[in-house]
Amino acid sequence: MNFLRAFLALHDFEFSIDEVTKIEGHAGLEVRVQNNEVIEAKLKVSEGKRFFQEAAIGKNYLELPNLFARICGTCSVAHFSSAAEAIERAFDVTPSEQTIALRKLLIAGTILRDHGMHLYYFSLPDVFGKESILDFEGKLQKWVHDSMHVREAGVRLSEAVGGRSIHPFTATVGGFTAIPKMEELKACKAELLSVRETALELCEAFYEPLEKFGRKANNVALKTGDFSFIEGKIIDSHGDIVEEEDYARYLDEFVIPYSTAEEFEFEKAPYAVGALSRVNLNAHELHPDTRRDCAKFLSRFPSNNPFHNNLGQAIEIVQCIDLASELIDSYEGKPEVHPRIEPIESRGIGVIEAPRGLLYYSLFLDSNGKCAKAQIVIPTAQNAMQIESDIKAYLPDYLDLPREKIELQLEKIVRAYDPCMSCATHFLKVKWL
Amino acid sequence: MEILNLLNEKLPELQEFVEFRYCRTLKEKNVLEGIDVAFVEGSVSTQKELDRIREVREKSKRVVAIGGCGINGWPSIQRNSFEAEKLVEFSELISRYSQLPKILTIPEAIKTDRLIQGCPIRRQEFESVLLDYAREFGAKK
Repeated sequence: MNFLRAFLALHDFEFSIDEVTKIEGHAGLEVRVQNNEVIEAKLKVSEGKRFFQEAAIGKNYLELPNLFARICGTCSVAHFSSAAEAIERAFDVTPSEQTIALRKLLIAGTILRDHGMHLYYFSLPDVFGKESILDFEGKLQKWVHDSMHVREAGVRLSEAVGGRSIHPFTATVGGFTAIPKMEELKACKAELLSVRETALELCEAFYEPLEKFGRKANNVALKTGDFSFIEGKIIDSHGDIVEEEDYARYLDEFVIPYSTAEEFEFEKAPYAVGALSRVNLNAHELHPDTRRDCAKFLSRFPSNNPFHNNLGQAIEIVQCIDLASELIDSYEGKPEVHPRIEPIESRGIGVIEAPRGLLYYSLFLDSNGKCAKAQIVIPTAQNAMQIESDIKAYLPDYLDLPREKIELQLEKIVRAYDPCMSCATHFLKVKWL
Repeated sequence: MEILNLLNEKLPELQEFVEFRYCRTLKEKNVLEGIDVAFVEGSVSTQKELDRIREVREKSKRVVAIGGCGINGWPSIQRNSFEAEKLVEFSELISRYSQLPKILTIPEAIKTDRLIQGCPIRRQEFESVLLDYAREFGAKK
């Protein structure tokens, strides 16, 4: 239940939503309006700090990716992959092509499961004006079944490649300790293709944005060449490019100060990460089959409407089905060759596209392979300032509505970004509830 | 997450005998009253969380702690084994987040009726506990 506290008359008021519903984890929102102007909008975390970065210190590099995976059940594969990549870069280890392909499959499975959760469970109720997917009856029941099939196809793929649906145990630094059997992956491909039409219907459901709203935002995303969420260079809407060898400087001089700053402290404009940014910048890199069958949906991009993040996510589900099918076709099931790993004192940076956007791991390791320092920047920490800035532009149109409706509108725009507060718990600098 | 995965398979079937009273991930309107069985996850780090879990205990006939965080306190419980100097270093953070002197597991914080172990838990085990309680409360034969 949300508690809304209003003071003074409308158009000059403040209130807070203690618990935004239907998002991953617990978040609150505090808004202050004066003379019809939103002077403050603050996303707040209402979960406890778990000291992950501090607890990592002194731990062996082999333990780290699995420890960090526990930051979040929803996107554990993303945390695992980014941390493993950071360690490999620190020790100058190059995983095999097959290892990279299997990691891409793990991420594809995560995207189906995770975008599936956000779109079907959190956002579709807004499309149909329902409180919850649990209330879908009659004709709407179809969507309940669809959600199960799409998510289940992702779960099966994660189980086949990672050993289980979340917190993969076959994946490790440098490679995989067990690889999927050919027939398992073929079965996964059949299941993925069986939900492809369903995923296209999901695109149709989000073709019209939930709200008409536009703002100029700088999109930032990884350009991978094959829209596969790992490895590549970081690009933005201005055409600026950060190559892999410049990750450290970019992280130290820009991303970390930005993600921990209060808006007024930071002179640069906010930026957005996530599906909308990825599709805005990299639509031409989508799988040819995805581009062909999503041509109508892709005509909406580039888009300045944050509610199109939903459509972007739905398109990405189709992309992951097509990309995974292709990777499965070329999978040979060769025994994994584990590269020799020799710890040296070094720093490595991992950057991947988690379901909600860029996820950075910067790990300082010593010559015994132990962690000396860990820095993690999660997507929601990067989006927080953009969400707050969007609310300032978005809310004035709704100030005449009753309080409950305003609250609903606010929840909708926060939800559009698909924030992950389980992750944000550690890394978002916010006012405490 | 494993519970959502169970819903992938069985949501309509479960809805025949389960009423979701409080589940903020799925619903806007949630009522923490008249709960037959509460499934709770996560460790207890702050006084607010301790009060909350006590409230859940008070308002539920049965409480089941689930998952590695809830039962073993991991990963939050790592803080309990920080060396003294590390704790001094983080004392400001610990007080800013109003953390308890010691991170608690759910069974340490309240009396629990059952535990479902694992990170992640196994959905089959969750389902079998749920069915046991459905029979106990007469919702299912």
